[in-house]
Amino acid sequence: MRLRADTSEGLPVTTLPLPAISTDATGRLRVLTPAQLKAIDLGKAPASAADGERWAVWGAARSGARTTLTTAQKRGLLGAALLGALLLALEPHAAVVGLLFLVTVVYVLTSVYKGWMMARGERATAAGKGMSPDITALADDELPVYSLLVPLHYEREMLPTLLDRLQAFNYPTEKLEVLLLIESDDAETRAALRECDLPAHMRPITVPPGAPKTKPRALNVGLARARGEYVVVYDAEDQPDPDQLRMAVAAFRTSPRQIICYQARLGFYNPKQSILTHLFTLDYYVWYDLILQGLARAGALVPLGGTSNHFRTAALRQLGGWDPYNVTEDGDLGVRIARAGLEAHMLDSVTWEEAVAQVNPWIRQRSRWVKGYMQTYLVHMREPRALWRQLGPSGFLDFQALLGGSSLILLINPLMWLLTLAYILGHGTVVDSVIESVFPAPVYYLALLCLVVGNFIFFYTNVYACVRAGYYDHARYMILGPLYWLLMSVAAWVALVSLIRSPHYWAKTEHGVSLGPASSLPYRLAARRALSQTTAVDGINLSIVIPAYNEALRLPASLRRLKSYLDGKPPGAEVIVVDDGSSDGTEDVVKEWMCDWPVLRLVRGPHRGKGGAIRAGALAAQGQYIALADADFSMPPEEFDHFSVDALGDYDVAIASREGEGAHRYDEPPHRYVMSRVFNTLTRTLLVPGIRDTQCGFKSLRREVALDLFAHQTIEGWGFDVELLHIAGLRGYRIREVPVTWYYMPGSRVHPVRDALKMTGEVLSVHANSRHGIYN
Amino acid sequence: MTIRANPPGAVAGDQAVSAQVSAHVSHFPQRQQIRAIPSLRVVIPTLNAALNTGSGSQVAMRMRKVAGRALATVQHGAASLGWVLLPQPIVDVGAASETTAISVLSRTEETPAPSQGMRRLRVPFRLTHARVVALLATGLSVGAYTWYAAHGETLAYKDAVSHMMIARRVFFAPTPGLGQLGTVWPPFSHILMLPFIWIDPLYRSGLAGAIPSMAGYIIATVYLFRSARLLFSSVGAGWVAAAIFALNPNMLYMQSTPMSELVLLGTIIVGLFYLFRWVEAERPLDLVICAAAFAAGTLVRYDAWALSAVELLVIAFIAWRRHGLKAAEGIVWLYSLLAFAGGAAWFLYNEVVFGDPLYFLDGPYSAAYQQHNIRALGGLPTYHNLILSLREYLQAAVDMNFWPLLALAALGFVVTLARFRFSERMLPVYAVWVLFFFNVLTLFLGVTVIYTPQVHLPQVATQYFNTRYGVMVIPEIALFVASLVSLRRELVIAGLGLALMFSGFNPSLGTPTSLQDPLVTVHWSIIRQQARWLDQHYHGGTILIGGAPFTAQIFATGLPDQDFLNENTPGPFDQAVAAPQQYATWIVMNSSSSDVYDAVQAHLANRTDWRKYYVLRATINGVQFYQRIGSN
Repeated sequence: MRLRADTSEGLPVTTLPLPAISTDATGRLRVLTPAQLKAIDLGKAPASAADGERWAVWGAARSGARTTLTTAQKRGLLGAALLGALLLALEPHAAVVGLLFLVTVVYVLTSVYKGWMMARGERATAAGKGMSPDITALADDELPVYSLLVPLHYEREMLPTLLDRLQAFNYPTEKLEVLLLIESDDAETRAALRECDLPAHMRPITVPPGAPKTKPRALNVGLARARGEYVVVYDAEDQPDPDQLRMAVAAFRTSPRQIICYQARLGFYNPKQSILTHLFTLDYYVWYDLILQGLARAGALVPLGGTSNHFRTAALRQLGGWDPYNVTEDGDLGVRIARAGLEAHMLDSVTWEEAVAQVNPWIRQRSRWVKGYMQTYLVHMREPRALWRQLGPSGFLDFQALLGGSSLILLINPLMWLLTLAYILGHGTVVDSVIESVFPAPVYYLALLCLVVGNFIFFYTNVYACVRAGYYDHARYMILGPLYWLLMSVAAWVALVSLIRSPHYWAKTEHGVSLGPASSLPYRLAARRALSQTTAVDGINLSIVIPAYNEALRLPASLRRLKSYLDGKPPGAEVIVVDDGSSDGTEDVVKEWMCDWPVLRLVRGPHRGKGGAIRAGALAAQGQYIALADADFSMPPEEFDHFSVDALGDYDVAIASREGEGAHRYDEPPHRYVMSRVFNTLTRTLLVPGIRDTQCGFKSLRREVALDLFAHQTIEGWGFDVELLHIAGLRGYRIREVPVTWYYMPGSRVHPVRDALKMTGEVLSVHANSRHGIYN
Repeated sequence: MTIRANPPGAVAGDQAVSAQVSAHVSHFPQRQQIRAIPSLRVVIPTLNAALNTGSGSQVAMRMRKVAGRALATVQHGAASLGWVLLPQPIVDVGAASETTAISVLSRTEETPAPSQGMRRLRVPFRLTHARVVALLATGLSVGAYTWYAAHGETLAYKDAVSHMMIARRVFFAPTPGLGQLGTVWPPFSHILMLPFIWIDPLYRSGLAGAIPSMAGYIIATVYLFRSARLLFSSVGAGWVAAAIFALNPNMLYMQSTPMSELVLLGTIIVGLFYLFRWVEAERPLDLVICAAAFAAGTLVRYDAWALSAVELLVIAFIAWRRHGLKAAEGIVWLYSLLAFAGGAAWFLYNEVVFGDPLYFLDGPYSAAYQQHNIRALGGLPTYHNLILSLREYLQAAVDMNFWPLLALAALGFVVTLARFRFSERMLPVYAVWVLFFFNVLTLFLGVTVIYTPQVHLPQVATQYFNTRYGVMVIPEIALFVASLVSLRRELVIAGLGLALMFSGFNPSLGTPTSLQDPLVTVHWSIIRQQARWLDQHYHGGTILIGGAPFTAQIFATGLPDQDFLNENTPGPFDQAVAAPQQYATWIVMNSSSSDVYDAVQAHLANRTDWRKYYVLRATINGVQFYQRIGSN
């Protein structure tokens, strides 16, 4: 074996063949077989806790975002607040006028800066056409070792797709090192990985337990282990251009040493999923394809995106890796690169990501970004003079505008909108004259200019970006731009509150999951793949899937009843409890039961809703038949007899029905009954003609039918039953309604108003999906 | 050191060439190797190949552009290797040249590492055709202004003074501010005057108002040149178009005045050029510039509203045909949101300042109001008379141009139709005819009025009035004559000759038609007499006077702006007309009705309550001068 170790950078850099080399805690090389290598890290913490900890907090020694405000900053803020209060007390009118003047100036500067940035981006991209590095010139044996860091956190369902994509790179695998970074508490993903047949160049690495549990900390662990000359970060849902690594190598090879990072452009593969994704896509396009291009071309500070940033490994290590306490470690790293006199540039290659399609997850994600920018701003403004010296005047301006100004504007916007609204509504009243008195002519004209021209520019640049990017049919959604700004402001305020209350909390974006996979094709394909890879196990006839969300109290009784029912039956059944991200110890209850009841299994995941939990259970099910049951067992387990294989006959799906002959409902409050019937009328009219009760939780399906239905499922909430039955109807499966005796159980998780509205929405969305042929 | 790119086939497309260049940039030798190289040459045989396969100057032009871009690309690649390079551009892609080499870069002795990103290529100033056109146009512009200023004719139109006073009031009025821009005309040309108008000598001489016109003239000339060159792939055509426009004596006179015609022509011609280019290359930025220019135009005169609306149809049609409905929708949004933003802003301004979004249309200072008065006097023969409207506007177009040029343009139009038919490239050009029909329509609807002595009408005076509106067909004339001469090189000479003839041998040189109009219709001697009288008898205090009808008199007195109180300052004005004796030392108003609304007369003529406080000091040509009793 030919081996070359170069320790000139202080850390080992190796060449061929990769899988057989590993470093121990002291950094010495040792040779391992691929099997040994695979055994390492798999489900285990690193060799020593100290080792893991050392890498995990890499960079934390440096004054990062661990402390949000230094004492000096606190004093400064306090002083400013006191001064403001004093002015307000002594000269209230002048103070308010002064404040509004300042705000207006900030607006003017931001508008001008935004226009300038767009112009820079426009110029940069116009000049850079055809600038993509030539990858055909790189022979395989010239290529260096490349390390891919892929942090995973509850990404079990994305795994098959992810692994496929990671193998799609146009890069020799013997020079590729894929480090799958898994949090220590994520047994689910680790278990799933263990079942996968990982190629030799992919290694799971367990991130040692500890705080903060953030992506940058995981990345630092990965960086410590990385042996590539270059290293790149990908997220689980990323779909990078297969040539991206080669392009990065070609770009690095022709770049001066001070360019240590190439950021690939990020785009969305689901731009048309919802109105929000239309707007979000444009936001991304403007940021990555125009603004960052402009900044990079000017050699200015580039706030990196969270993924697809390629680094020279040695340089990144010298910089200290990522700040584990910063929730936008990427933005922070961008600033640090610029401060070190180094440069990050853009790579003419796209990584496709998934756009968050719903408002709440979007606000979570955006608030994390804004929070991170606030953190980054505060961290680097600890020594403003040093920052000025290191970045130069224009870099300092970029920093102020990109990291500080952008967040500030988002915070101020709603206040100014309210003021404008009050001015318009209060026309002719005292409100009107008060507002007029605090806007002297020059401020008034400036503010008016911002309101009309500034807003128009912001709005119009997005329309321009639409056409420029070829997203022609997005243009009409730009009318809704102001609503998007409103959401951004909401996110900014959430971020500010979060920064104060829990500065290091990482609001994870649920990949694929939080999307309401509704029409996200990639997600559904991923689910379909995952489902198609499951197999039935001989000897297991029936899998009973029980979704449980905070059911620690009710679950034991239910399990007891189920156990006594199953004990009287011949073996061949398994019970799967899906803990849907409970926080009340449901997991512990199940684990306790598992000790004495071997057929009981536990599946854990983040909270998704009943539909999501059921699907996760189906994914784990091994039986020929899959039965679904509610955690409260409002139907006596004995009723399962009517759902058995024999009873099913040539039907494909059997559902419990509280309606029809032979069914009994006990103790149900009248309002619940009325709601249930109204809902059923709606569903029967729109989606499932002839089915009198879709919402009783007990159902039984043939395995292949279940897998087919779940593969097309898009609803993860309470409305999933209707969707499954609708798909079953569409696909010609035979459905049987089994009348049951049913007891109302207090403590229902269904909220009578909120969930009713949500379910109605879900029914309508199933209807729309059906019309759009999503289930075909 | 030479880097040679060998393309697989001769391709004349920009992208292909760029791709070739960039491919070789990534093949740059390593830094150490480069250090030893004194200079670097990049040869792109594609250029040769393209030139050999293509024909005419269109290909050469495109290649020149490509070469420029190639330079920047190579420069970028070299800089990424840590070079600071001095450009040595010999970007000449002459059609006959054997070796089309772009000698790009040579190295300095010391090569400092670039610390702040890539250096941008600095190409030394070169005298291109467009720049020569711009220089000549600037010379003509300054020369013409000097000539007319020396003859005291730059402010011959009363409207010329009005335009300046509107801008002036933004700074100097009892209640200064943007509200003073008023609604008589859309405000863009007045906004352009703001940087100069507050400087007294510039204001008094009229230069402050003429500067935007002169800029409009120069820009229009250059962009007509570029448009014709782009459309007909002929530099000669560009020169002819530019000459027809720039040498027109009416253009030379109008650009020396604060009138808004040249500002309008400047904006729409810029817009048209970028529209033509968008049709060629479909860069969205071109469409944005086009829309922005049209938006500015809509804020100068209403002609631009018609043009931008019709061009919207053209754009939608082209986008739809090329890319389908969805793309057309996006492109229509991109264009119309900006192109009509000016109009929207105008409505908004009318609503905010005057409480009525349509105030400019039906307010007392609207054209409709004036024409209403004129019609009442029987002075609007074109009203609801299509034939007469056509004749009148056609005659105005002839008067503003040289009839042989008009005939050539007609021929050019026919030839263009035969040559290009309804090709996408020509659609936006044909659409410019809307300016002609718009003006005919406004005559027909009685919104404007034009008199020409040639169209003899018994009921109106035989003199020029508003004949200048005929200038709106000049872009079409220039472009269609250019189209004609682009057929043969010899024709270019003929075209240039004609344009020169119009300038040099025109019987109206020195007093072009556009100047004859005000010299006859505006009775400056009377205005000066009235102004002089007031100036001599006024010794302080406030003069209550109609701003619209007495613009010229106010200007001609030379008195400070603050001494006058008129309807442009609504609050104080309303107080003053309610009880003049408390506010006004002087009252000036018409004794009989006039075509321009006199607000003071409207308020006071039929009232007697105020008369006991005032004495009528003089009546000069129907204008009454009242002085408050007891004032000096």
